[in-house]
This record gives sequence, structure tokens and C-alpha cells, in this order.
Amino acid sequence: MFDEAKYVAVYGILMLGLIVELLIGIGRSPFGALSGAAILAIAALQAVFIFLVFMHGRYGARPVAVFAVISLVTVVPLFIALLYSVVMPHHGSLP
Amino acid sequence: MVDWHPLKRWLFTTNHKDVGVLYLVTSLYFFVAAGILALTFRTQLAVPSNTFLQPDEYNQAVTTHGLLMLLWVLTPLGAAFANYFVPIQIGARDMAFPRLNALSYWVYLASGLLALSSFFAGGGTADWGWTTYAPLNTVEFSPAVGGSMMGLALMLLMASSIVSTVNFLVTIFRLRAPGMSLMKLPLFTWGWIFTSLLMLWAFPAFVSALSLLVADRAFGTVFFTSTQGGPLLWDHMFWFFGHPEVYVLLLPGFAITGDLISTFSRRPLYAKKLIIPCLAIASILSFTVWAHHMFMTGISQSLLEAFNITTELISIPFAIIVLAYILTLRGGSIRFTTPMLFAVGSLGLFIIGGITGVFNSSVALDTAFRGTFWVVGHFHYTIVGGGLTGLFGGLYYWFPKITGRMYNERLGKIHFAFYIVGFNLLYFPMQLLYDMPRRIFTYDPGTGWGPINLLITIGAFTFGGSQLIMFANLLWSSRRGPTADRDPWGAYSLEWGVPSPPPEFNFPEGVPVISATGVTYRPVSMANGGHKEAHEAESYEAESHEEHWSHWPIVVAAGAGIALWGVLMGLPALLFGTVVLAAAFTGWGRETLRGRFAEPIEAVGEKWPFERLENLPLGMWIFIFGEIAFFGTLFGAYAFLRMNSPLTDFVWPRPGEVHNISLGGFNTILLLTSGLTMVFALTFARRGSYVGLQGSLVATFSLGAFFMVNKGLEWKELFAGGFTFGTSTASSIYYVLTGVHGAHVVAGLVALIYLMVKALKAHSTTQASGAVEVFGIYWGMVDAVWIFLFPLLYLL
Repeated sequence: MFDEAKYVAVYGILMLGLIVELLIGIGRSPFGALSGAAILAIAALQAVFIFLVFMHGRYGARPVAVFAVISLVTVVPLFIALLYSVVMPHHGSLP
Repeated sequence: MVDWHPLKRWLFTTNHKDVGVLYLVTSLYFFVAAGILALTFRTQLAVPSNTFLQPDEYNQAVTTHGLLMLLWVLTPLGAAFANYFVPIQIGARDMAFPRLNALSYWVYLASGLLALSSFFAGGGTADWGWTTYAPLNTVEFSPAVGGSMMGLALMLLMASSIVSTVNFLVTIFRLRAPGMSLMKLPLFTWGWIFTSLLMLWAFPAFVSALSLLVADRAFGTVFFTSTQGGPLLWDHMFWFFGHPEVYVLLLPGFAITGDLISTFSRRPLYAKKLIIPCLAIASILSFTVWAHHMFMTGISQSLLEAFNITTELISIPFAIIVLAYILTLRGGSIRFTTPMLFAVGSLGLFIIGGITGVFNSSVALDTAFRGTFWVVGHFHYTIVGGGLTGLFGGLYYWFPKITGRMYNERLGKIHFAFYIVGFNLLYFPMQLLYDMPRRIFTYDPGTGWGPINLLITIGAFTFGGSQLIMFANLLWSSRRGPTADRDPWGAYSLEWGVPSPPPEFNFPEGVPVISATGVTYRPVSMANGGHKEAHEAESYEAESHEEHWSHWPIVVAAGAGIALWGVLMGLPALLFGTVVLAAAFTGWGRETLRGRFAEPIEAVGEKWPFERLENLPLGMWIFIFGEIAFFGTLFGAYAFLRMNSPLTDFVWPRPGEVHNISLGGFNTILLLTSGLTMVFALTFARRGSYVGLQGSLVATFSLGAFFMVNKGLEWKELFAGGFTFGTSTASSIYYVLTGVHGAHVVAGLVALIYLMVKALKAHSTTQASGAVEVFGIYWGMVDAVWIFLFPLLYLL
């Protein structure tokens, strides 16, 4: 029963995250400019929880986690460059 | 192998050496095809105002030459050697997933045939250059259906490469022989590790870019055709793949060069412990330099400076490796055999390519050289000089091991002489054409470029003709050459300790055990802790492939190829291909369920750092890491389009304006709940509760199916409301993101059906728990992606 209780608890946390996201998304005024960042932060935490559940604590977490972090870090430069490209004068319109 | 009908052997084999030979022959075939295309457009450029080719034919020839050489020749030629020799070099009997290995090859072949058939699709093939720049890649400027077909062929090829990458990484990390620590691996295997990692993270980014392109061309989305997206998005996505791809092309040949220099200098590789970190640093940096291809696109000054610096930095690890190679030569007892000539030649050519590359890293010089033949000369010195020349050295080096016969040394040296003269005659004069634009099909006599172009074309024919000597030599020698013994070169890696050619499971004397004193062979039964002795003994004695062949890989590839062809050429072909594909996957699953296909059993060996992870879960995790790059790039495109929209006077829909937040939230609940039922399935499987396992799987399937039904209804509603594929970039990215995620859900539902059948047929639930665990990892990824999609598309 211990496993089930653990998974139900994680499920509860994910649902709680979803409710908070919805509350911020629908009534965003109290959070102002931070509402988007708060929602994405909650999503990131939810993803980490899902990742940890499927790790099952069985693999010797370190190598898989390191691999996962490297994978995430790989696409970070692309994000930065894409977003940074937005601040320049517009390019790319067709004739 | 002798008992097999040759056709059956080559069509249905899953043996890594056979697959390696198939890769080798096929990549050389594409090499000839791409080479002939090069000769046609070099003929066109030989003299001014030539009319040998029409402009459109020229564009198609250049485009197809570039794509074929880079993606269907160089990478697979490296894969050919990797397939054949990496398992032997690490002391394994085969790849971790032999059937997937065969599938990778057949999908590669299907993609190549699809690419070539695009010539005949009506209107010709892609004509936008190998970089596929937007907006040239759009229907408006390249309306031929062959262009779309090339896009699909590229996607198929990327899928093949990613599957292959997963297979290689699991094989190298999990199947090493006892005592074969990572640091003891030959440089070629190290080179292939980094090549695989680059492919794992770079190729999915290209699949993302191609997804947007094919969506534009086939479904009318507006990523590259509108003022809201445009060329800059393509440039970033393409070159984020494109520059690491340069190292994918380079590293295998470059690593072979190191091994050859060591072998034929009779010296251990100088500073090997430094070379490996340098390869790692270069691989990491390769993901941070792509925008040096975009210096002229008008990106901001800060980005220019950043990418200028990273590009100059990446030359440092390569300079260290080149110095290490040269220091290996110093004081060595050098034998200038044909492989060694190619190795030394490769080193020299790469140095020229590297030096000209440093010029290009400078924003100021790049401004002058960009888009000229200087750049064409530079990258051919790097990729052909450093990559292909090293691979050809490898071809001569390993030819005796593959065929059991020696090649003709004199002809080999004649080949090298013409190769190196032709190469420099072809590419060095390009460095002098720094004022000639590279993307023109002819030029005026008054430009003065005629004599140099004529020289280049003479070089092209010399270089191309020299390959005929190699083909004649190798073909003749494979039948009539003197018999080769185990180790004709006095080399050190494990493949030279086995017969030439190696027997079915590579090591007839037993499992190799590597120690400080050398290699010994341990009887198989001991190596496996006494398990499955009878099977092992039988496998070593008899060369029967009966347990290890499968006809499903080729059928899957054929089905995928036909279905993709049908996407553009008509519904009947699409339906036929889909039916073949479905039948093939069913057959594959049945084969697994019946235990008909038995993977070779591996010895207990070195598995660091993944000792606690079985092959299949590790493979799934690695696949998921590739998916991170795939979805990460799509999320990057979303961020770019959204942040860019105010600059184009496009108002991004506000939350709730287009999408139904309640429906999105409900779908999120469905998917998260399916994640819970999935982990319950695993818990029940391990606990032996059959009812619990089946109930959890059915619940997961039902929730996933419900999610898809909702998603379909949502699409229908949005379409009815006028929010279609081409309404705006907001609609385009919505449909692509939810579409590819939905495709993942559907694939998961199919896998769930398989799991339910497997659980039904398994003798105990614990037998099925491995597959349930692996699927659970996949389903978790599907959940995690949606966790981000929901807020991005509905709440922000």
C-alpha cells in the first residue's frame, strides 16, 4: 500500500499545481507581470515530480538525472538566441 | 552464415556486421549518385555563360548533391563502420537491440529512395539549396511536390538516425566486456559516442524544423510564409541542428585518423586522456556556435560578439587534438600504407579547413566571405578533407577484416595520389574565388572567374575519377585478393584479435576479458555466471541465424516509405502504406510475444555509469532525452513567434479568447490521471496482481483515448470558428504542438494495446513488468509535455 499512497500523494500535488495554475491564469490581476512566470514555474515543478515518479528510485538516480539536465541545457542556448533575436529590427517578411 | 540463402540473409539480417555492410554499400551508392550530380554542376560552371544545365536543373543538382553527401553518405558511412566495429571493439556479441538496428538501416534506405524519387515526382526535386532557407523553401517559391517529398525523406532519415543513436549509446554503455572501461575504448568508439550524443540532441531539432516546414507545405500553416514568422526562425532552428551536424560528419573520420596514426606509427596515441575531454568540449561547444552561419542576417551586435567568441573557442580543442596526432607521429616507426596515407592526408587537409574556419569566425571577415566560394572551399576542406578522407582511410584499414582479403596496395596508393591531387585542384582554387557568389548557375566572361572555374572542374573530374580506382581495387580484391590473417597491421583493438571476417558472434574463443596485461578469453558459461550455458555453447559453435533474423524491419521501413510517399502522391498509396505499417508493427509485436526473436546474450561486463539500469529502460530514457530536444525546439519556436508578434502588428489571442480553458483543464486532469493509473499498473505488475495490472492498463488506455476524443472535438470546434491551420502563426503553432503531442498519445495507445496482450499472454505479471516500466517512462514524458502545453496554449 505504501507505493499507492506515495503515488496518490504525488497525483494530489500535481492536481494542486493545476488548480493554482488555473487560479492564477483566470484571475491573474493580483500577480501582475509575474503571473506568466509563476504558471511556468509550477509547470516545471510538476514536470520534475513526474520525472521523479518514473525514476522509481531504482536506477541510481544520478546518471539519468545528469543526462536529463544535459538534455535540457542543450536547448537553452537556442531559447536565448531566439528570444534575443526578437529585440532586433524585424526580419523575414516576404515580398 | 553459410547455411543462409544470400537474399534472405541480406534482407532479414539483424547481425550488426551484416547491417554494417549494408550501410557501407548503400552509402557508397549514394556517394556515387551525389558525385555524379556534382560533376554535372561543375561542368555547368566550367566555362562562363554555359547552358549545359538550366537554372532550375542546376539548383536541384546542387541541393540534392549537398543533402545526399551530408546526410545519406557521410553520416551513414561512419555508421557503417560503427555498426561493424563498435560492438567488436567493446567486446560485445551484437548491438543491444539488433532488430532496431536493422530497422534503422532499412528506414535509412527508404528515406534515400524517397529522396531520389523526388526527382521524378513532377516538377523536379527540392531546389532551395541544402540549407533549405526560408522563404525559398515555401510553396510560393518552390512549388514542386518533390520539395515536400525531400522534406519527408529528411524526417524519415532523422528518425532512423535517432533510433540508431539510442541503440549505440545503450550498446556502448551497457555491453562492454569485462575490464573494458570507458578509457580503454579505441578512439573510434569514443568518436562514435560523441557523434551519437550530437545526433541525439541535434537531429530532433531538425525534425522540429522540418515539421514546421512540411506543415507549411502540406497543410497550409504559415510559419515561413507569413510576416509573423519568417526566415530567421528557420535559420535558428536549422543551424541549431546544422552546426553540430558538421561535427557529426567530422568526428567519425577524425577519430579513425587518430587510430590509424597510432597503429601505423607503432605508438600509443599521444595524450589520449586529453583528446577525449577535447572531443567532449568540442561537442558541447558545437551547440553554441550555430549563429556564425547567420552573421549576415542582421541579428543583434551582442549575438554576433557572443557567437564570434564561441566559434573561436571551438578551434582550441581541435588544435589540441591535431597537435596530439602530430606528436604521435613524432618518433614513431611510420609505415606509409594506404590507410596511413589517407590518415596523414586527412590531417593535412583538416588543418587547412580549420585555419580557413578561423577566418570565418571573425564577423568582419565573414562579412566579406559570406556566400562566396571561399566558404564552399572551407567546408569541403573540413568535411571532405577531415571527415571523408579519414573514413576512406578506415575503409582500407578495415577492408581485410570485413572481407578476409587484402586489397591491392599499389592501386591503393595510386588512388591516394589522384585523390589528394584532385582534391586540392578542386577545392584550393575555391579559396581564391572569394569574390564569386556561390549561389549562381552561371557567370559573365568579364568577371575573370572562368580559368579558375575550369581548373576546379578539372580537379572535380580528377577527384571523382580517382574513386573508380578504389571501387575497382576493392571489388577485385574482395574476390581475388590474398587472404588476410587476423591482424595484418599489428593493431591493438579487439577486432584484430578475431578471425577475418569475424564469426557470427565475434569472439569464438569466449568472452574477451581486458586487463592490464592484455586480453584473455573466458569461457562463455563462466562469463555469464553459469546461466544459459547450453544456449551459449550452441551459439558459439554453430553459425545459425535462425533465432536472430526478422523480416519485420524491412516491412516497417517499406510501409513508412510508401505511406509518406502517399502523403503527397495520393490517398491509395497513403492507405496502403499505413496498412503495411500497421501489419508490420503487429507482426513485430507478435514475434516478440512468441519469443521467436532471441537477442544474443551478453557477458556480464562493464556498465558504468548505468549499472542499475537495464538495456530497455536506458534506451527509453535516452529516447526521451532526444524528445526533450524535439519538443524544446518547438517550444523555442513558440516563444519566438509569440514574442515576435508585437513587432509584426499581430495580436496574439488572449487566454480564453480562442481556446476553451475548461476543456484544456479537463484534458489535463485526464492525462495526469492516466499517469497515476500507469504507475499503478507497474505496482500491480510487480506485486503479481493480474486483475490490478489489466485494470490499470485499461484505465490508462481509456483516459488517453478520452483525451484524444476531446482533442479531436476541440479541433473541430476551432475549425468551425475559423481558427484554421493558416489563420495565423498562433493557430499554426497550436495545431503543430497539439498535433505532434497527439501523435505521441496515439503511439502510446497502440503500445498500451500491445501491453494488454502481453500481460494476457505472460505466465506471470512480473514477466510483463519490464515492458510496463518502459512504457511508463514514455507515458510520463507525454504527461510532462502536456504539463507545459496546457499553460502555454490556454493560460498565458
